Amino acid sequence: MEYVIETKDLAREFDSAEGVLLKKKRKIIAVDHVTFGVRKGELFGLLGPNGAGKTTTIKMLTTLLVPTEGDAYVHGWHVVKEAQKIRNHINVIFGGERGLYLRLSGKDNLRYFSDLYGVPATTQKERIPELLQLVGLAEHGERKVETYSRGMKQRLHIARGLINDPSIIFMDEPTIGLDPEGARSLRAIIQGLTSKDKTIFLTTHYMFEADELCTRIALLKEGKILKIDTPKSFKNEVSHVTIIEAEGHHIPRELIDALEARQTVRMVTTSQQDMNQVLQIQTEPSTDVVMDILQSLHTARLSNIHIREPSLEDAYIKIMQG
Amino acid sequence: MDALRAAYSSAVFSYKGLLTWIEPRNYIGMKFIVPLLQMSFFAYVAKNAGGAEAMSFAVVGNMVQLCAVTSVLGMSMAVGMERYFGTLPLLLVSPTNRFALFMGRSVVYVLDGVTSTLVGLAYAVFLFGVDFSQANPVLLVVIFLVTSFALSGFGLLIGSLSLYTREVVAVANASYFALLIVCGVNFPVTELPHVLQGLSKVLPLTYGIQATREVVQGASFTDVQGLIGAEILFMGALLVVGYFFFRYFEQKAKKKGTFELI
Amino acid sequence: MGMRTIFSASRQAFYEFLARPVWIFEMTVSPFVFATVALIMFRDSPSTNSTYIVMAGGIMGMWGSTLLGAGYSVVIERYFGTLQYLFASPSSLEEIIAGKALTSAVMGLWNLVFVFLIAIILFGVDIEIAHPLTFLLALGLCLFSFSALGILLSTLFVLSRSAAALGNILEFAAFVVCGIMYPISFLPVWIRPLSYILTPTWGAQVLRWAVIEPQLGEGFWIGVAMIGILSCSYIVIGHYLYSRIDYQVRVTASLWRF
Repeated sequence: MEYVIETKDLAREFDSAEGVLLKKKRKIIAVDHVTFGVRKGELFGLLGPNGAGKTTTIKMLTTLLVPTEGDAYVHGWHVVKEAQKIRNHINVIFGGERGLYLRLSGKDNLRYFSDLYGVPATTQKERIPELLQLVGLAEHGERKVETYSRGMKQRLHIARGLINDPSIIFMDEPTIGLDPEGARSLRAIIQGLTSKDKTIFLTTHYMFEADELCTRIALLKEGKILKIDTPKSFKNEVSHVTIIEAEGHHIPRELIDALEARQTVRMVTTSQQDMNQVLQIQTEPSTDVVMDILQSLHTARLSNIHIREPSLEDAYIKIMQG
Repeated sequence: MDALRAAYSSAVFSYKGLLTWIEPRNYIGMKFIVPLLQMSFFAYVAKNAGGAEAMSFAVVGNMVQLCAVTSVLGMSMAVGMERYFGTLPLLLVSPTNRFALFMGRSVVYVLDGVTSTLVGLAYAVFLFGVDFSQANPVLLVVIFLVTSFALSGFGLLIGSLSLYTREVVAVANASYFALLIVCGVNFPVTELPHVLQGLSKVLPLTYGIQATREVVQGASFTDVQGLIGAEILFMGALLVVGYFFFRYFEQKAKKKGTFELI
Repeated sequence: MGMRTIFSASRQAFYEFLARPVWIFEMTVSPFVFATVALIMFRDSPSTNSTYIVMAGGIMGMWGSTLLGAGYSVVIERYFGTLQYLFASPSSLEEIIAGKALTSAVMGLWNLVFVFLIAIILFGVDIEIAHPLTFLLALGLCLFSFSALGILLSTLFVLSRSAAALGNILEFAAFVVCGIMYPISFLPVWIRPLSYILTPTWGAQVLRWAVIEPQLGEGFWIGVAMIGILSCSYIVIGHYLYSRIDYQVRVTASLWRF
């Protein structure tokens, strides 16, 4: 099947200046030669930690930034040479509440942007109320945006992003900073869009969000793509393991070494959480093996021991670490 | 003592803040270019209206008034910027004496204001040929310092409005321009309507400008001590009013909850 | 797009004026001060025409307003994060700014009305305009030429991140260089070429003829021609610059950082 978004060795560098008077220039590689394709109707997720290059990638695809190397095509049009053609058929939503005219009403915001996208007046009359309905702001359309809650502003952004009935929507961390309920309702709206035959390109650093929404995920780290696959096969990476977690103070090095030496143990990691150290062990999913390990943890006087199935987050951490 | 420490640390931070907020390029513009343009404009208008003498009059007046760029605009923006950066609520929940905090900031603005006037002085001498040969330089600097300090008090008074309204920039600009009419900057205050003459008598800048004019003509400290004294007196009054304004608007803002609107 | 974007942006700018009533106050302050200071200063110089002085204060305010709408509004849009969405839309930034410039120039007329009112009420000035109809036409020409200059200068605000001070500088610079309240011959010789390529210089000249002179002479027509030629050049140069900027800002990312 044909790709509606395609990149070939796409890269972007930034000059970064440090110091107030004497500026030292330094090159920062934000996106480091990435290649991927997104099919029509997909909900494609770009997953990665802060600073991985997610926003920069979106900006290049939405014609806001010129790549320093490589090429990208949206609907087969080149993002630099044919930017104008692309702009009519896509829209972009950057996470957060910025980017709205706060002193104007929600409706006025939408009206302005539909003019800028050349939406005919008759279409606007139908579309604006529909969109406000879709994002649950039907009753608040006349209110000034500055009186909106954060969640309402972010939902208004979704409506703004749909104003030209785009075939592809780019969303950069759309749920950032929302409370769980607000984020959930926003996810429901996003999910609903795929049924309208739209392609969605989404970035997030919330694993469960990607898991819940995306048909495919690309994992980005320090500007490079580590893996592209479905959430299911991501989880398969860690599916034949059981995870044991335990807490303690100063977990002895010998214990960790001993655990790692076992044939049945896949991976051992430790992390600091508040006052405690947290030990995570990925092991073969056999009862005997697990019981055996639990025994050794008990003798080491570790507490809060629990056993669980792997999540996408575990896959994420596994791939990120190596 | 705590108030003093708050004032000190606030001064240090506002210096850093001043530097980061105003990029060097912006700072140069505000420090050298805008003053030159303002002075030139009024100098030429004065020349057109009343010849060379009127021009010198306007040049000296604008030179002194220039310190208001930093001390009125800068000082009121110091409070205003807190709102833009969203740090105003944080500041107001801290237990320190907020008035002291902003007074501490003013130290930086006072010195910066004097620098503006010195820049203006350079323009007056080299571009407009004003004769300063009779003036006592130390006395001039003392007058500039007092004037800049007094204008910072005025700036603080205006800045306190920003606790309550987000339109403080508009008010600060208006006050800055109002000084150009009322304080004898471009023409003698006696030319003003009587109501405005009354207002000019309570604004410290009027005395600072008058003292400067006399020193430029060769007056000694004893000649202008009355003017300087009056300036300090009205400056003190401004600070007292400023303090109560600050308290009042803080209370009012808390009631209305307008800290976070930008 | 074209006209539609310009119209829509100009309507949007109008809404923003309405949403922020303080603009009346903000925009009125500096023309009020300039006109007042000038009226008092010129009080003892009988050769000066007070109507012209008042009008000069007004058109200075109009210029300030145009610059605010065309240039400084870019800084504000950058600050509130709306600039990148404007840029992502298929409408051109140049057209959007043209619309804003037109609205703010027209709104700037308020300055003129206001200073006339002040002059009549506070200073008892008798307003006498020699050629009222010509005056109105000249005013329209000024609005158009200010907008054109605003569009050209707005490119600086798009490209530069330290545009906050730029606004003040450009506003005042036009007051100084264009000799609106004094003859250009007061300026140092090397600045004068700059005066001649700025439309406010010619706008002031044309308005002066319309207000003062009993008979419209050569100077008037030269002024009209210069405004026409210069405004068209501004638009052409501005258009060229915007076609470059569209690419340039995507290289430097200067639109998204502030």
